[in-house]
Amino acid sequence: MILISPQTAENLYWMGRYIQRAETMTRLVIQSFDKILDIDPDEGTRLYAKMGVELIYKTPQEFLQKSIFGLEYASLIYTIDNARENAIVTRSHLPNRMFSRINALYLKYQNAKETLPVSIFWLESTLQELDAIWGNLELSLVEAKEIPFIEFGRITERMDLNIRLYNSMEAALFDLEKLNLLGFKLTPHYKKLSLSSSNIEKTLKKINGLYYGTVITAS
Amino acid sequence: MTESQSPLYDGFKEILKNIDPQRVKDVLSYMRTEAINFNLFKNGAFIERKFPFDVIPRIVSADEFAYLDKGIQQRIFALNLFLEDIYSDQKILKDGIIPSEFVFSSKAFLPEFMNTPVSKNIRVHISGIDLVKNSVGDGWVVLEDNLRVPSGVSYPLSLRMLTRKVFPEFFEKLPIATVTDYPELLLKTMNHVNTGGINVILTPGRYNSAFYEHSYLAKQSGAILATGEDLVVEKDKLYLKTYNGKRAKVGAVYRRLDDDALDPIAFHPDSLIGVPNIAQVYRAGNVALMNSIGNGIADDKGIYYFVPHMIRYYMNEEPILQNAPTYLAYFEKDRQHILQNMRTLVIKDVAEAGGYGVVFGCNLSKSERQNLKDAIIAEPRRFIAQEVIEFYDIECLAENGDFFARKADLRMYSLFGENITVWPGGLTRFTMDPNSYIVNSSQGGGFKDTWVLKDTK
Repeated sequence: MILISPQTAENLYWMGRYIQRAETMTRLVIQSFDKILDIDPDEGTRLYAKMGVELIYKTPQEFLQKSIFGLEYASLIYTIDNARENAIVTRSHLPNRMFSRINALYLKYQNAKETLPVSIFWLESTLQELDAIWGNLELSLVEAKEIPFIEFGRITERMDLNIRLYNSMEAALFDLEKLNLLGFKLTPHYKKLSLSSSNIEKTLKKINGLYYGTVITAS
Repeated sequence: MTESQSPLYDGFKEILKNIDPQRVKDVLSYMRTEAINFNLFKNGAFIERKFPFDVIPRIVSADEFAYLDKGIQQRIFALNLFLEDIYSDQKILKDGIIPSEFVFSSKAFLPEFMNTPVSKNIRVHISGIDLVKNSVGDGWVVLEDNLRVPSGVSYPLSLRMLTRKVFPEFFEKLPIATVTDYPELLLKTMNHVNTGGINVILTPGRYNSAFYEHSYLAKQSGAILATGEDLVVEKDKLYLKTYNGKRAKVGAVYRRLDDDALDPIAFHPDSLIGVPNIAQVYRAGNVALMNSIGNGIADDKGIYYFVPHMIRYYMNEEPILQNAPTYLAYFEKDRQHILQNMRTLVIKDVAEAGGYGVVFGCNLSKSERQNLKDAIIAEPRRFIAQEVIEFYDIECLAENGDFFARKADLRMYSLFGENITVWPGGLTRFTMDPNSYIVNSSQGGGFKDTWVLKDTK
C-alpha cells in the first residue's frame, strides 16, 4: 500500500504541474522576448492571450518584467511561489536536494523582485535550475513512491499547455501513453484516458479532471 | 560572565582562528536555502521566518553531561511515575506530598482520563528539560520541564549536519559526541509503544511555527507526516486515509498538537486541526499518543516546585538536579514573601508558555507592581515566583566577525522507550536583546548547537 494521503497526493501533483508550467513559460518568455526585439512586437501579447491573459507592454524590457513579476496569476514568480508552497508541505516526501533547489529558486525570485529589473540572462539561468530540479527526481537508484504523483502532474500540465498554446493534439497524444502508465502504477482501477475529441475545451476539461476522478479517489 | 571563556572552549577557538570567514557565510546561506524556519504569527499575520542561529556552539564537558544525563533520567522517571499515579491511585495526594487542591484546580489535569492505561506505562516519551548554568556556584539549574510538545530538536540537529560538512576539522580534532542518531532513537521509541500499525507524526500544518521540525523528523525517522484531515477514526481504531480510498492502521502518533486541539469531540469543539474521536482510540488502548494526554499537569509551572518531592517520594532518592529557588503564591508564607520581595523576583503565570507571562519584578512600574500584587492575591494558584538566576552569557559571532555575549539556556531532550535516553546534544537558545533573560524562540531568540564532549580518559 502506498502511504500517501489525499492531500499529499494533491500537493505532489500540483508541485509537478507548477514546475512544468514554470519551465515551459520561461522558455516561451525567452523566445518571445527575442521576437519582440526586432521581429514581431506583439508576440508577447499573443502568447498570453492564448491563456486568456491580457498583457500590454511598450518595450521588450517591460514585457520581460511583467511576465516575470507583473501578471498576477500568470506571472512566473506566482508559478514558482506555488511550486514552492506545494514543496514546503510535501518536503518530508521529497529528495532533500530537490526541495533545496525549489526553495533556492524561490529565493532567487524573491531577491530579484527587490532589485528589479532583471535581464534575459537572469531568466535563462533559472532554466538551468528548473532542469536540475527535474534531474533530482531521476537520479535516485530506487524510484520513490512519490515520483509518479509528481510526474502525473508534470505530464498533465505539459499536455494542457501543448493543446492550449500550440493546439497540438499530436504532442498531447504522445504524452497520453505515459500518463496512462503512471495512472496504472498509482491505482490498479485506473480508468484509461483516451483523447479523440476535436473539441479543445472538452479535451482540456478531461485532461485536467483526470487526476481527481481516477487517481485520488478517497473522500 | 561568559561561559565561552572557560578552558573547555580552547580547542574550539584554536581551530576557529584558522577558519576562513567565508565558510561561516556559507553556513548562513545554506540554512536559508534549506528553509530551516521557525515561523511566527505577529499581529494576526503569518511570517515565514528563518530561525536565527549562531555558529559558535555551547560546549558541555563529558563530566557535566554525565551529571545532566543522570539527573534528567531521574527527573523523567519520577515525572512519569507521577503521571501514572495522578491518573490512577493518586497516592502522592493521599499521602499529602502535594496538596490535592493544587492538582485538581489545574486546567491541565484531565480527570476524564483517569484510569486510562497507556502503552508500556510510558507517558513522557519525549521531553525537553530547560536548564541554565548558574554563574554563581557554577551549577546547572532546571527552569522548566516540558512534557507536552517540546519543540526544537531539529534545529541543532540540522545545524550539526551542516557544520559537519562545512567545518569537518572540528569533528576530526575534537571528541564531539554524535547526535545524528536522534531520528533513529525517535523511531525506536515509537516502535516500542506502538500498539500495531504505522507510525505517524501529527502536525497542525504548514502554518505552525515548528512545521519545519515536524517535516524534518518525519522524513528522517520514516514516520508519516499527517494533518488531522489525513486521519480518521473507525470503530475505535485510528487510520491514515490514503489517496485511493484505502486505510492504513496507525499504532503510534507523535502528536505535535496540544491536548486542547487534539480532538474536537473530547476537547475544544472549535479545533479544526485535530482528529475527531482520537481520544476514544487512546482510551481503548488502540493507539499510543506521544506524549500522552494530560501530561500538562506534570509540567505545570506550579507542579515544578514539587518535582524534588516526587523524586524523594517515588524513588527514595535525593534529586540530582536542582530547581531554581521557587515560591508558590498558593502557600500563605510564600505569598507574603513574594508580595514583599517582588522587586528581586521573577514572577511567572503558570498558565502561560513560550516565555510569555514571565515578569521581572525589577522592571515593573509602581502601578504595574500593584496590579500584579492584586492579581496574585486574587488568584494565588496562578502564580509562582523565582529568585533571579544569574546565568552565564555565551559568546556569539556577528556577521562582521566580532564576538558578542548573550544570555543562553539549554534545552536537553530525552526519549523514553525501552530505556530513558538523554540525547547528547541540545538546543541552546540565546537572547537577541543584550538586556533580556528571555530566550524563547517564539519571542525572537536565536539558537546554537550544543556539543557534548566524549570522555577520552
